[in-house]
Amino acid sequence: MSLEIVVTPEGSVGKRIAIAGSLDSNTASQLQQTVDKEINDSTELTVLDFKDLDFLSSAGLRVIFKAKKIMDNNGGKFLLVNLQPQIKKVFEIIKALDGMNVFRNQDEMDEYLAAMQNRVKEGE
Amino acid sequence: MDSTPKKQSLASRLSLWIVLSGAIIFLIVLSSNYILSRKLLESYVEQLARETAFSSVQKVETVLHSVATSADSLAAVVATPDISQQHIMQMLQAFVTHNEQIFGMTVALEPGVLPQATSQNGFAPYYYKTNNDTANRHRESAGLAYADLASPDYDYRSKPWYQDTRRAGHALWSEPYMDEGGGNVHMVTYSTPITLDDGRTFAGVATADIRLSWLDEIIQHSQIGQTGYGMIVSGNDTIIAHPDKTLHMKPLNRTGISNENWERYLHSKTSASAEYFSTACKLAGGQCWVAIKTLSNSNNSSHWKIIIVIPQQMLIAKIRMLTVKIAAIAIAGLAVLFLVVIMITRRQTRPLAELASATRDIGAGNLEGKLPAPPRMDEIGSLSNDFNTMREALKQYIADLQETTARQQKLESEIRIAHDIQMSMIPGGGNASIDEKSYQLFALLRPARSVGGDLYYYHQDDRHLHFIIGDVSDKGVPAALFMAKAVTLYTRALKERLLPGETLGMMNDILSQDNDACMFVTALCGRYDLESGEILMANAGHMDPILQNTDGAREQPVNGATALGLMENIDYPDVSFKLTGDSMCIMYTDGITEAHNSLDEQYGEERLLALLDNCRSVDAAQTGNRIISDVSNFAGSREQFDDITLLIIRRKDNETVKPS
Repeated sequence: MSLEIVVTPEGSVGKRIAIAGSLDSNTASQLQQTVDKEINDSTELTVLDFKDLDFLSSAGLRVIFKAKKIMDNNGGKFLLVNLQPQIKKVFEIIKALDGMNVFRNQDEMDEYLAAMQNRVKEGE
Repeated sequence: MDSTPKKQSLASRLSLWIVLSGAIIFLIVLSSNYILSRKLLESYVEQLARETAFSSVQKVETVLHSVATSADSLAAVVATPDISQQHIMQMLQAFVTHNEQIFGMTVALEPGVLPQATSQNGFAPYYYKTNNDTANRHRESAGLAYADLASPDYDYRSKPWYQDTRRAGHALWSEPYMDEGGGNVHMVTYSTPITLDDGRTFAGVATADIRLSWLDEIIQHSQIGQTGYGMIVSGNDTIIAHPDKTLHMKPLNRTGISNENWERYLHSKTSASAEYFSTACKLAGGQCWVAIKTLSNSNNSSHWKIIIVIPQQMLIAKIRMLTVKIAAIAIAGLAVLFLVVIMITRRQTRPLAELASATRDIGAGNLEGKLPAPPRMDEIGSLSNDFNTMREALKQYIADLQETTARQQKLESEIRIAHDIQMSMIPGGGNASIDEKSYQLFALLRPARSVGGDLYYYHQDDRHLHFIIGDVSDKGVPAALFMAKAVTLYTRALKERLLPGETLGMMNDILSQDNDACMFVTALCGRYDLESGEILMANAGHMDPILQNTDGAREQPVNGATALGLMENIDYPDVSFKLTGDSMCIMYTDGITEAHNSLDEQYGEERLLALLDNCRSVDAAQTGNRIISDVSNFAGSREQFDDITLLIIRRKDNETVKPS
């Protein structure tokens, strides 16, 4: 099984990384390279779209954690969206969902982002 | 490419084609040459035959004409009354002597008409040459003989030559005859009537004899080539001159010329122009060209014909000989061409052969062999150069490959050593089977590669069996290093006698520090009470263990917290459950449940639970081996997907389980 990665802009300052196929020890380095290239200190929002991801192994998890760490360190947002049940279960087993912004679908995520923006506006 | 038995050299193939096309061209040229030269020669021969016929006729006519003139003039002179017998005899002698062709002459007078013939016997003096050898006639040596035809025993007036001429009233040529009295030679005679001045009164006959042998001379001159010849036939088709003397005086049909084209022949009898045609010719065994020309002497009474015969075979033989000569030259030329082409192509393709042999050398692994120097900067020369470049590149590539292979081998040997070290870090070296008084333990670690990120550990003290099973994210060397760190930390926890939850907390804190690579370990850490069978267990993001007892197999939930290494300061709660007699606690890593088969299906927990359901009352080692073989059967030809680790603890009920 192979991995397909599509990167599109998310809003004005964000990146959406859609991954499809199998994220395992053979393909994790692909995602790693994409993360290294696309995510840096100035990235404010990274959305990882799991819609077409069929398989996730611990090697893949490591890359996801690493991306999250980069985003956490520079104060950006790291969101996971469209987790299929078997993918969600992988996160659940290692009890890694705590502290992660996980959304079942796009609507939930949009709601969350809208709320965030409102909060920022109110704060102004 | 090695030399196959069907190998055919370019040189011979090329030469063969060139020579073949050359031969075809030669054949076309040769056959058209044959046809053209034959046509040319035929028309030449026809002309030659005609001309020979004409010229022969002319020669014959000249002679006959002069002989006839002699007799005519004699006849005219004799008719004048004042010519004495003496005069006549003198004139006869002079005519015979001075006329080369005339053999003999006579003047036979009718008695009582002219004054010279007053006697009853008439007057008929005959003078003829005595020397029969016509070929060596000389005027001086030619003696003359005299015969008096007016003698009573001859009676010239009753002879046909006299009678016929008298009856005809004009000059006549006799048919050829054998002169029995005069010298036994074939002769013809010209007889012309002598008339008085009134032109009507018959006064006698003047004759001139010609021997036919002089015709042979003309026939000799009309010979054409080796087999062509001429002949003369008389008006009634008797051969009077022929190269073959035995045919003299024989009918025409004895010559072997068939009268296939008889109509043409007949036509030639009445025509003064020459007839030319080809007809079957028995003599030469094939076709002949025949030219026939009828004599047209002024008296129009001889009807002799000159026939020129040229067998075709002669000409065809000549053309054939010519063709054979040309063909021989052509074949020699083609042979030379063949050799030259072979030589040139050999020379041109020799570098190719050398290149081919060099290629075989290189194929056999010899990259140092000498390469032929490029002869010229043509296509072959540039191929030679390219080949050399390729060989150099190949040499470099092989050198690089050897270096890479050496490096690879070194790395592999290092990894093998690393594998041994890794296995020595865990009890039992990766495959342990323990049978104690109150429990059985089976532990197996099988990395997907030489080294892996899975781990297990156990340690028994007075009261407890301490154990851990873990799975580092990813596999290979990075995972193995992280695993080593985790195992080291676990042994430290054992020394500090920490509870499972405390152990994981301590390990997590240390593993999380400066973990920029975000490596993490999922782990189940536990403590088994040898007496009571109680298990205290903490879970760091690992799959729940399976508990198997007489009721079957089921998952034993152990609620825990995040995997080790992702964030610090996490509490891992201890969960307690109990192993009763003959029940087992099976712990595993995802290398088992996520094993794939060729259809890309996963082994999954359901299969594992179903298998364990069927493994009741079986000891720990057997259970472990069954799981492993079931998984590898499932995976089939697919290589092991991930590190596999299995840790099984079975509580012994001493009353039912016998030591194995």
